[in-house]
Amino acid sequence: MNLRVLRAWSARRSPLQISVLSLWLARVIAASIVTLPLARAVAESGIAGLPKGDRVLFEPGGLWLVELLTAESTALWSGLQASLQLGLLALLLLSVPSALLFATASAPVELSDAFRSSVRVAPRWLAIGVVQILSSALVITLAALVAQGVTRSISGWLTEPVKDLVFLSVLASGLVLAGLLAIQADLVRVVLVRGLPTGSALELAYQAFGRARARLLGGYTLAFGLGVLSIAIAARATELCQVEHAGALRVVGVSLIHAGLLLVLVLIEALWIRRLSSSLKVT
Amino acid sequence: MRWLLELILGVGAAVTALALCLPSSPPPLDRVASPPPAAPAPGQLPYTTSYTLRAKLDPATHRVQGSGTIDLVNTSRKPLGSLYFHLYLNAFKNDRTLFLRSPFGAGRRAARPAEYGYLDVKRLSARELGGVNLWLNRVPHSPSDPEDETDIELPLPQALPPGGRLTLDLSFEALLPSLLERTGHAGSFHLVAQWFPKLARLEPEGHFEHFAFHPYAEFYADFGRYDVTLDVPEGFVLGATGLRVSERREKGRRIERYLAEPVHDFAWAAWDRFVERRTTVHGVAVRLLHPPGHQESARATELTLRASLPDFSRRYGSYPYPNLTVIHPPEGAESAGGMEYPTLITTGGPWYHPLSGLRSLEALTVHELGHQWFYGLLASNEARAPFLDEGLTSYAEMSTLSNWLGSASGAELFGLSISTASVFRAVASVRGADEVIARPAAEFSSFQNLGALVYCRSAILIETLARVFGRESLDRALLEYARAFRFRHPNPKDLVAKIREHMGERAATTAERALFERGRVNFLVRELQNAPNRMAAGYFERNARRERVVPKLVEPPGYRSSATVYRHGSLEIPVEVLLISEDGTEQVRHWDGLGAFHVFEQTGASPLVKVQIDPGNRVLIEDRLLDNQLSLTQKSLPRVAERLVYWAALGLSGIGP
Repeated sequence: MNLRVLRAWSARRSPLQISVLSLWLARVIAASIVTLPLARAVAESGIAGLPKGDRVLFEPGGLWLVELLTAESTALWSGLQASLQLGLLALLLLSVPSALLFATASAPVELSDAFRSSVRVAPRWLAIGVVQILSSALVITLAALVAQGVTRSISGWLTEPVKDLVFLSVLASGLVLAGLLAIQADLVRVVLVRGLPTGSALELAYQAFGRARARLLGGYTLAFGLGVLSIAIAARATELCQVEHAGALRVVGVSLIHAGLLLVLVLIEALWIRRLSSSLKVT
Repeated sequence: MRWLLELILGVGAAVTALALCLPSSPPPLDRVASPPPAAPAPGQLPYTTSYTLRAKLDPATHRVQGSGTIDLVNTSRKPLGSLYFHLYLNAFKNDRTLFLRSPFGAGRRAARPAEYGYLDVKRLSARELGGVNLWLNRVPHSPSDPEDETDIELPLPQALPPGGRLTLDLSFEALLPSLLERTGHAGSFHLVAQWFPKLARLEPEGHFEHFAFHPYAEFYADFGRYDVTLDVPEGFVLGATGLRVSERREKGRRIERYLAEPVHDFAWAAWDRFVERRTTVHGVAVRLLHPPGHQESARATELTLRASLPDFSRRYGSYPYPNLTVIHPPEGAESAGGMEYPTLITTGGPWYHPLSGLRSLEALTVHELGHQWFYGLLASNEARAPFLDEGLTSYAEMSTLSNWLGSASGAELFGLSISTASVFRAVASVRGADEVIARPAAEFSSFQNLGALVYCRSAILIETLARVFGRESLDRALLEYARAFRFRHPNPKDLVAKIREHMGERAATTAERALFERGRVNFLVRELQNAPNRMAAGYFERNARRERVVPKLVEPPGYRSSATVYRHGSLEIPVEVLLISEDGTEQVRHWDGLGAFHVFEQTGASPLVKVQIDPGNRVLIEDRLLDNQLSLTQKSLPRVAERLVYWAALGLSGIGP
């Protein structure tokens, strides 16, 4: 596809469609690069030289998989560490296509303007991400500690399932709080890509959250549930492809399922952003 | 109210996703027609030792007051000048015992008791010797260890001749430690094991096989008759070795009497919160005692017994007792789990285990049940040759789980199945050649090594013998071993003799080298060469003339190929080798495994491009599988690459800012 064809193709697409595809493609490309060190460690193990190739790793019983993980643990660990470092870098770079999706999904906007805005907000975007992750971790840790304390105090007179249920309930309250933090963070992002300063963005997001708390929580839960369900369905669908058997078509089939799922996740994200933007009254 | 609908739909979707990820339940089994329980075949009669005991538990102080009689017959060929008693509970008396003195923590879990325990014999007298308290004459510490009191010699005032009898009256007090190494208390839960003075095994040639209780070792004793009356508070539920023959309540106490014969130990558990489930499996009355809320675990345990008990009976001889008790310890008493006593086993694990996809409860149940044969009925010396019990039991566990659950015998997680054999192989290969397998427990350098070698490597060795030399002949060898030595305390040579008898010399030699000599094996391919077929060129003296022959390919064109495979280690195991040519032609060739290397040659239209040793994965005991191949073709990992990219993309989607 040359540049002219690409331009013509993109001219027929809306900025939102392009940003959805961009984020999807960026994630796939980033993931391909991120996994190179780990894939290389697997390749050097000798698995690829087997007559059956790497499908032995997917065979029932897991003989070769366990063999690989134990015999090559040092090399795999090194590969994993390198991959994780690349993953951090990828997260930084992905903030631009991610912001682009927020910009195009939250309001009608020219693609070029949206792109400029995305690049401009990228540093603040990352800062919000870091704050969100840290605060969520803190909330969940506190919830886990409280849950542990509660269950310890009642462990003498409850059955184990009830005790664990109490633990999970308390922990779940922490998860709900983390979810609320995620909603707040996404609201801030939506405002940020519209060019508002951080202080105003925080204030607007807070007000919007106060106005439509239930609606946002419902939408977030639905988006989360659909995302998780999509992943589970994809997992079951890939099992049907039976990649432990020979045949390139099986690999193609699994690739398509996974690629499709990743696209679905971006679409769910876009729908969620639309819901967020409808809750905001930004001038 | 749209938000509420969305909330419900979102939660519903997440729950559906969770349900989609749950592993499938183990397959139900057709009920096997239950034969009547086999009558217990007596062991050596008369029994060397028989116990008639009475025990009263005070759960508040965790003390057991015991009294009773030991009937001793000198069944050996020599007079006995001393008796040897194992007071195993003294292992937990203080930090200087052989069991606890390691600065790095004791035993399998490297733990220390929060509360210590002991076994005090208050009085021991022999009716035939005037009823005086003989215990005053004891040597106060283990013969091999002045700081240990688990192996006590009691000199007799006069030797007991062969065939002579002694009726020993005794009273004792056991203070149970906090739960450690499958004995003790956790709250009101009590597992009361190794709680009474127990005579060491009297060998036929006239010596007691006695030893101080080492943290890596287990037990060894004579078969006998146990008649035990247990006395606990009324609200407690009891589970014990043997068959409950009477039960009564008296002054707020529950008093139950148990009979077991022929067995070589007696253990019991008492808890005021046990839930009881009763069933019959293959003609055996089963009591499952579990904590409240563990109904699913109990159901999984019962299903496992239905799969394994008939299988073990078929493969190692019928289960000879009328009943079996299974104890599932509660949370906080995990140390009580995973242990075997005659007609009583303990399992363990959290209540949600059946939902997890891990088959640890099934594996634990099958393993402990397997001990009923190799520990319970054969009763080999666990201190001197632990592999005879743990190794064979681990093999039996692996084999039975595989028959039942197939490739998912170890775990089934996210569509991925892991077999027990894969896990055992991995553990065994990591520490494969560290130490000799067939050695006393106390001589192992660590419990991790004992676990890897005695449990896993022994099992993998036997599985390798089955795969290489024939499963039918192995099954026959094990069945004959289990039948011939039931109640007879076999030793390692007895096992090897049965392997030799039924599987042949090479299998026996392989077993001997692997068990007694740190024998190991690793196959690898180093060279793979191809050359086009051509006429011999050069100068040749023919018909009194020098003739020059120029290099020339033969028609039709072809290749000469050779692949050299090597064997490292002393286990000479025959193996198959797969040769693959460029045109896809496959050949499976056999190597007898003798010698350090073997060159496979072939001539064909296409060059040889791939070689794999042992394509059927028969030699599970091999050190490393990844060097079993050599390939000249381009290598790729499409499946791995695809899966890694997917996971990474999913991760980037989930945690992206």
